[in-house]
Amino acid sequence: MYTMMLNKLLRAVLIIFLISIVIFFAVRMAPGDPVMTVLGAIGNNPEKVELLRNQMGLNDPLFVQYFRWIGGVLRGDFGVSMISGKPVLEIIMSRIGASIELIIAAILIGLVIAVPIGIIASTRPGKLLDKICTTISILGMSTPVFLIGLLMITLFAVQWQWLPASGYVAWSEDAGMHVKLLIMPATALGIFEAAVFFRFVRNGMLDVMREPFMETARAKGLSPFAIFVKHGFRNTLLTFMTVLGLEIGILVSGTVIVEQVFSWTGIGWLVLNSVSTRDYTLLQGTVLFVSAAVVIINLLLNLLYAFLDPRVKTHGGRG
Amino acid sequence: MRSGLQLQRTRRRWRLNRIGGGVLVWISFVIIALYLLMALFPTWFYAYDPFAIDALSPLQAPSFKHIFGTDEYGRDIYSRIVDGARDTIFIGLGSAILAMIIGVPLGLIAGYSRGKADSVISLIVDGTLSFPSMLLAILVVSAWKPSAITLIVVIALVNFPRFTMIVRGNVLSLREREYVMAARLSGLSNSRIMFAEILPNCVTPIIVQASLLVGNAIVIETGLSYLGLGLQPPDPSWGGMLTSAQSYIYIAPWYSAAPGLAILLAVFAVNILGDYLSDKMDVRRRME
Amino acid sequence: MSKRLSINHLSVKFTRGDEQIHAVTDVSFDIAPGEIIGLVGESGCGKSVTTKAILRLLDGGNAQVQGQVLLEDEDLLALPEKKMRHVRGKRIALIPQNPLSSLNPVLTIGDQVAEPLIEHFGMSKKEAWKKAREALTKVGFPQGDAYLKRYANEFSGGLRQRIAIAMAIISEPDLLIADEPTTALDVTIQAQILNLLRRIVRETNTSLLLITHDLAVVSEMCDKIGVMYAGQIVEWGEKRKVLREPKHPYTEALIAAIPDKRTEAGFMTIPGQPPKLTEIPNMCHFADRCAYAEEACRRSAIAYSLDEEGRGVRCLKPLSRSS
Repeated sequence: MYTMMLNKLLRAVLIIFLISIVIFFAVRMAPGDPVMTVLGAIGNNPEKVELLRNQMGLNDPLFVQYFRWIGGVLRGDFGVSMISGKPVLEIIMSRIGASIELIIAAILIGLVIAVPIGIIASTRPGKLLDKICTTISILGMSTPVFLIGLLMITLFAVQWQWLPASGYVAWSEDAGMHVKLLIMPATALGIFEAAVFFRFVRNGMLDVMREPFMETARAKGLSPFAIFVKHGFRNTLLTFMTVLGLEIGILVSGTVIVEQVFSWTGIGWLVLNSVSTRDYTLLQGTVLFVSAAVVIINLLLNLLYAFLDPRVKTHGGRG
Repeated sequence: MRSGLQLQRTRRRWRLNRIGGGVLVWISFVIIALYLLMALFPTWFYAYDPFAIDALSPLQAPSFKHIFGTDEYGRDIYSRIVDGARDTIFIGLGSAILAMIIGVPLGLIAGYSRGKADSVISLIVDGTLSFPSMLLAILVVSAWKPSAITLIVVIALVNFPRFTMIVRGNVLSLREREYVMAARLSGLSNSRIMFAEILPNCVTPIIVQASLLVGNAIVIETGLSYLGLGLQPPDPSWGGMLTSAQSYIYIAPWYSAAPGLAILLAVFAVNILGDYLSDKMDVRRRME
Repeated sequence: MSKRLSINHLSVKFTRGDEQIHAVTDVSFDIAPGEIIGLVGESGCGKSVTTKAILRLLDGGNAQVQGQVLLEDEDLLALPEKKMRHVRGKRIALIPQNPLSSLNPVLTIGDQVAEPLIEHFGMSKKEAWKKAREALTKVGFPQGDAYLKRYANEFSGGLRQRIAIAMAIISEPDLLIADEPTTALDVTIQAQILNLLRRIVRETNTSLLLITHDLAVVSEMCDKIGVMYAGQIVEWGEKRKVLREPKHPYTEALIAAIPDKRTEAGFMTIPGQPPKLTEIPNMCHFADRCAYAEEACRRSAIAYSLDEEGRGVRCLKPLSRSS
């Protein structure tokens, strides 16, 4: 089991390393190196630009620059924003809370919608209710989050005016407004996730239902609730964690867009803002930070799974 | 004979039992065909010139004259949807094909050789799959300037591992089958075994995956263009039209209906098709 | 004679698409308290379906069950599902076929063994776990409760079957149904499990319905035997009588098919296949494979006759061998 954990940890480190290479070179190898372009646009005095380039080490070979960058990152120094001059890490930290809040709210909403419906649909596979739910879930998965978001704004903000259309207010400033503003982006993201979760719960339950131990549970005279939830869903829940790991990446992608739709000023909004201000140090730093976070969360979920599932515990060491 | 008949009967019944009685599948086929026609022969569908500005009738609500209304420059939204189909459809198809070209051989190599090549490829696959694809796309597109080629390449890069994963899994199970063993013992070269014996058996899952990836590509492409990172104006893009629609959401709430519907129908049709194909494949596997 | 369970004219048919499969046709038998009944037959003959019908585990699917299943004169097939639920696991308990897959992998042993008590007797968790510990000791686990918090996959197949038995006997049921309880186990462990089952029956006066395809197991364990073929009981009676003087040709053939170590003669096989049960054959189900079949055997369905001694047979020309 420990060799497996170590192996997974090593893979995660390697993956983060690979991602950092992609992030750095994808920007710097682009035609007319955008970093240089941006720098050129700041000062119109060529000498001053040259001085700045030397100062920032931009005249060194690219791979030297890469190692300087990644070396800094390892020491917790993500560089400074090209626009505001503030440390990148500080800017990220000021925004990350809003995004984490949004993602957690979305996962909860997704689970609340998907789990009961998934279990109910799985008790009568192929019946009308199941078919309707399955079709709706395909529809849900086919609807890009920005569409769900726009539809919600049109209905709840414009048509019925129940909720503010977009924006972000800190919890400390106005808690009520904060929650009101969170509802729509979290629901938009949550509906999208619910479609994915639903399919997983339903199919996972159908698989579990075929297991002989489910008949044992029925033969013991347990209530339907105990059979489906205690005996069935617990098994599904475990594998669900690995799915959630894979979903985190997709969730983050969705968050970037949802934050833009609703002007929720989290990490995703920060990414797009740094794109429009052409602040490449901030962009690279943020993308690396978020990607690494996703890989690490994935790793943690994997380890947690190995820890929680009794089957992995005893067989994992050998495999 | 008897079992053949039975098999046919179950298959037919299964088809009728499909979601919505298979009607949805047919509707999806029709939608996909329409989109392909729009992409190839847009002029057949135009109601107006999609670029013709009419300063006197901006943001007109849907009417018989303009079935989806007009945009902020008085251009016919329906005709712009038709014109936007080309980019979205071609980027969707192109990126799926490119992802296939990259992903399938890697999967073959990983599954067939196992060992070092497999662990390297698996690492890349795992890394890409856990990576938030939207972030990579935003990063690359913003640095490399949005163009059809950039978009196709970026979307293919974030999606190819799905092919690799599926092909690898299939190869791993196929390579132990008798006929592959026999081919190896008879001295056929590895590449010949891979392409002549193994690849044909992976075709169905590849096709299913491809159809799902076209849907995924459309989501990414329209998402990027919604964020302003897609193909640039004046070329109409469905995502870009939604961005404009959002700016006028209080004056013209119907504006987003047409581009929204266009995106939704495209992705939904492709996903239903993928679902249908994968179920069909599943049934065949069960029958075997 | 007192009856604990009485099955009258039980029939089960499944609907699969346009086809119907008559898995069980007109099965009747009684079980007395403390009795061990062996139900024998090849796979697909309907023995497992019969047990599932008794427990009503076929409900809700595409199965139609007809007849009567009387437990202490109460018809289980007529009970509302809510009441039936408290028959399962409380008055009739099932010992599952494959101990490797019949225990839930993510719940602890203690949790699973104690569950029937909490469900049917409203016991507190603490009390139920104490009883679970006792039940596990009864089936041969050492004292102590370290293993109560462990998971099924940490135990061997034999131990898992003991756990499954503990789970079944914990609520002291009137009837235990064991569906091929030893097929998935090693031969030495098979004997241990069978001994355990016999001991439990002797000590608790519960009845045991043992489903098996293995005549050797039956001859060792049971008081009475029912032989099933193609959905019907073809022969019924005291173990010794049935094995020594089989009246139905199928029983005779089954006995002949046991490899005999003493003579080392090759064992006989029964030629042919059981009929497909898409419809009930309007003739003797065994006729096509029977060495004694006559024209009359194919003319109409064969009635099941039960004599005063409780010997039942479904054959026009029962064998009468006195040797």
